[in-house]
Amino acid sequence: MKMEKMKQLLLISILYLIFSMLTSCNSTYTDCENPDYSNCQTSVPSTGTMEIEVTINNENPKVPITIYIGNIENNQIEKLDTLIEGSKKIVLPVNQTYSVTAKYKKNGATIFAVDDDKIKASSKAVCDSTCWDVSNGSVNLKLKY
Amino acid sequence: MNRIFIKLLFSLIFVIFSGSIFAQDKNIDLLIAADKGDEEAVIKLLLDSADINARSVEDVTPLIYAAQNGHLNIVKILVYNKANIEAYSTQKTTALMAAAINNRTEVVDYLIKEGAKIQARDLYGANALLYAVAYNYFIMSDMLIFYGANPNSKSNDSISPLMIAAMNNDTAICNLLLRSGAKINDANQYGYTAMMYAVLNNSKEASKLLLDIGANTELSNNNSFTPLCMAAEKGNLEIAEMLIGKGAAVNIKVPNYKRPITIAQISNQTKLVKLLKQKGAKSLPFPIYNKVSFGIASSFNLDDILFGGELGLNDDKLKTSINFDFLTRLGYKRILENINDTVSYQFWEKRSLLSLNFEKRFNIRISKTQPNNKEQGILVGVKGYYTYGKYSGSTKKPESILFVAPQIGIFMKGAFTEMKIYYEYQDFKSYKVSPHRVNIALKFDIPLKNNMASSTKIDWL
Repeated sequence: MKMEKMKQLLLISILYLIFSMLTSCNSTYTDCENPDYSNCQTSVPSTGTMEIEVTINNENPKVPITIYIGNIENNQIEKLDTLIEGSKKIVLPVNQTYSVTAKYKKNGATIFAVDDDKIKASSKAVCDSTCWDVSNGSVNLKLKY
Repeated sequence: MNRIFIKLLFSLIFVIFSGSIFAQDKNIDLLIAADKGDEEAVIKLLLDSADINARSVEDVTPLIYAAQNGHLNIVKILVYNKANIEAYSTQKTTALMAAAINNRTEVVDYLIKEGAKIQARDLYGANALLYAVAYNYFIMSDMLIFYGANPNSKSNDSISPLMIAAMNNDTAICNLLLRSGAKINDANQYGYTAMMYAVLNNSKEASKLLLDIGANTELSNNNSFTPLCMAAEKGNLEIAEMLIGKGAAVNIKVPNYKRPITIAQISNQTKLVKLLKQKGAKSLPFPIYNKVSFGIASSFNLDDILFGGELGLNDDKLKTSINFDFLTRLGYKRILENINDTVSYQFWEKRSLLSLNFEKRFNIRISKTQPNNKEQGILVGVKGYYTYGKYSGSTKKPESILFVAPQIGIFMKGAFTEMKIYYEYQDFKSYKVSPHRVNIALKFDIPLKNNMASSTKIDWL
């Protein structure tokens, strides 16, 4: 009897947890009588930014970077650049995953730091308009080793 | 004219209502007087036309109050004045039962002589004898039997007086009931006999008495548990010895748990296991996976941390378990992959691990009073791992490998929960990640086979 009760209690707790997770509030209410379009970008965005972080040091005062569309093995180069500061934002077309490499020298050897991210445009309906938003990308190509 | 009529009508309503209120007050006073044993007040109130069968909120009458508190004279006054002797409360407790529950022998004696029904049953189907036995009132039980109470009567949950006396280890009442015709091997709806109740409650004297008189040691309950199986589960060593001495079969087969020795092993009754082995019990060296476990797990060291879950099967017999784990790095970790002597790639690595593990637990008892469903001790085991992963920005992947990791640590287990912390040598060849790891798992255990002996708690007491 006790065992049965414990089982029931456990099951109820799990179901309650799942229910709470599924129904937890996420307020998306918009006042459509007085809509606020001040933060609404109505035109479809074509570009976004990719923030690239690199390590600048004595051995690597200038870091050459290569931006690829997709994986680096695809070899589809979108852009080449050289960074002289630790961080730079580069404008790139949206809805694409980019892989970025930074080339470093260390004790006579070459290290390619690799990372990727996606620049994505998304839309949502706000009353009778469609608002666009860009989720920009960032890659961390800092040298760790 | 109309005004006079209205005045008369109001006066009449007032008289009726006030009369009813005063009558109500008298009835309440009578209930209070009967409860307190105030004879004078009872007589006065009865003469003042208080309702002799007045009811409290719970339908208790003055007679029930007087009987319950042993006010014999008031009981006599009320009965003499034709109080309803069989009136009962909302729990269906009669005056006789109320007197029996409170060990008012003189009142019970009087009420029976005045015709109170001795076999009257309350809401739980319990009668005066069952209550007298339950509260260990020997004289009361003796008197009720003398007046014809049935020693084999049963409550709604099918409990007989002998079962209760055995449970209470009351050998005097057991003897009384058996002498009066109580059936020693009578079973209730769940198949439990008085012998089984004695065993489950570790009632040694009652067990000895029942065995001496000839209680059947081979009867089994609805879960096929014999008294010896119950003694094995509860760890009742002396009773187990008595049962074996009276010929209880040590190798009797019980579905799911096989034999009494297996039941003792699952219930962590080490002394019982020893005894049963001495008495020739056979124990096959196979595990019995009787619990399924699930929970969260983490594997970490200063370089890396992985999270995930664990699903497993626990064997409480040989204290082993088999677990399936999934662990994954929540984020990415920078690693360096050397292409040749002069070129290397620094990737962000995502890593996941799948593992199948076999563990053996060694219990360490901290104190003698520790409950048997609580365990702690050392665990040792071995895990077979498969690891896989990916690098961001590249189609290249870290090498997927199979490897074996030994583990050692500590564990704590309750009836439904367990926690383990253990060291593991987990070398999945990730760059600059130490293979020495600490693993933690918190899990819930759910029994797969629930056919251990039930609780012997009686709801109506």
